[in-house]
Amino acid sequence: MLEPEAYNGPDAWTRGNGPEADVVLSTRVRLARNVADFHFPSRLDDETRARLQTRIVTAINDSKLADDVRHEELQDADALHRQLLWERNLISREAMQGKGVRGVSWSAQKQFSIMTNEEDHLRIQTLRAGFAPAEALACALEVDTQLDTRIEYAWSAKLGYLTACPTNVGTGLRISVMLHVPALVQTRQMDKVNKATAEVGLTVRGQHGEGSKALGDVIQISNQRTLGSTEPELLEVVLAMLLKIVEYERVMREKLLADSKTAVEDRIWRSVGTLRHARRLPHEETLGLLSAVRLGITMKLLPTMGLDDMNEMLVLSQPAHLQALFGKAMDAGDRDIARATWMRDRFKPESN
Amino acid sequence: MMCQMCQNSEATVLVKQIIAGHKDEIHLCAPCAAERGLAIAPALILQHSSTPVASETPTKKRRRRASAPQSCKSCGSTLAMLKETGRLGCPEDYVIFEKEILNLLLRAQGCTEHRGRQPARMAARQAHERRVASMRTDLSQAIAQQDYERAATLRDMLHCLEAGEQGHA
Ligand SMILES: [Zn+2]
Ligand SMILES: [Zn+2]
Repeated sequence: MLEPEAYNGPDAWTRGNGPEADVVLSTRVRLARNVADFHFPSRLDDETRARLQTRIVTAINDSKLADDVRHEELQDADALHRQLLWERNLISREAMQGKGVRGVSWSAQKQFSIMTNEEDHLRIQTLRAGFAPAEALACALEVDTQLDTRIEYAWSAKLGYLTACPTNVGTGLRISVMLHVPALVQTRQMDKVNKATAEVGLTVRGQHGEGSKALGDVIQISNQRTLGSTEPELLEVVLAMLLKIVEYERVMREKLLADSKTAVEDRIWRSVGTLRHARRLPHEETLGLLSAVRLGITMKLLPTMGLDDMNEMLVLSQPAHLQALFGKAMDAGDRDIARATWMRDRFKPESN
Repeated sequence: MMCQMCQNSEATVLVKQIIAGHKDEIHLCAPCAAERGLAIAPALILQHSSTPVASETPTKKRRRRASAPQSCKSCGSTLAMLKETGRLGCPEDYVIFEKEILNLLLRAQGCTEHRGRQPARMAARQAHERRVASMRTDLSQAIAQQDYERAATLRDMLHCLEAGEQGHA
């Protein structure tokens, strides 16, 4: 059903302990690009989409990106496999659920993915563990440079890179940072964070983007504007504001510990207890429990566990990954049982 | 001001014409003016009354802009579709619905001017245009100084440059 490499441990960006890993899970950079003289994907028939896709794949294979890249046609892939790619951020929700000829080319080693025929003809994405926007941006721009000489982009001198949605026009650049902020949530500081980020043109969303809740105290912060600033200027805004939020979260963690150590410890150990003994673990509840454990690790209350274990568990406890791990399709009820079984094993007392 | 015929070079000739009582002004570059049989004399104002060839394009253009377009000829997008979905059908739509999109961008992005990176071919074209422009300046200087030998060389080089650019495009 699924090839082993597709689920045999998450990719480097989810496994590693990147910079500021106590607060930042991962960084993602995305560039929206379109090919000149083609309608945007929503207006293309499958035949044209296929022709365009061949052209893009050829450009990738002719470039320096070719060595380690893997191409997948998403319209032919089964739904579970598409969900797997989505759960590890290699493709967007639109690419997972959409219709028609579309694909993804990705490199685990170089940590980039290129979606084709999504909302735009190309969506170049780079992913990094921890807080690494500068590195992720540099990599994305390098991928862009490689394709630029082989594909003629839709471009105007006034508006820059032309995109299907005017909210992406200009640089086509979106820098997103995924943060774990339990202390800011518990001490009710999120309104303040929302206000401060809005002032500099950044938005706060739940883990899975627009409209999603901050499950497991994970939020995603990204630049809203794509036009009028250069790429380094947009990066600068993200760097400055995000480092402040990271520091803010750290201060509030210390405050939590100073004000109510027992309450914090109680919550963390209850979470460990549930993960160790529960027989049924719904996904949403699991995210809350893992959030508490993650907080405990960064507060040095759980000395034998590491953050990289946590990142891996966050990825692998998602519905599609769980089914891949167990090698069979399962409904929600069976998944909750499987998730509990798997967590019991990971949280066995001797391994803790 | 750019030449209204080719939109490519600085306009140095102003053509004033009166056709059927309608007064029109056209700014042209020297080569375009020459092509239409108008004497080349920078900054000279010509009175010309009978060459509709030179007047046709700009007037037509102005009229076309004056009436708002209903839909994109290329992809069929309409303004209503844009307003409903927030998405465009093709890159052409940015030109066709320019006014509406610029308003939208002003609201959503706070500006209407790209300042970021550009495709390599654009950077190359700009460099090319700068080279051509500076060679034109040299050429007119050479002519002014009656250095015809140098002018001939420069003209040949310009032809080569322009032929080269067409080859790329
Ligand atoms: Zn001209
Ligand atoms: Zn169109």
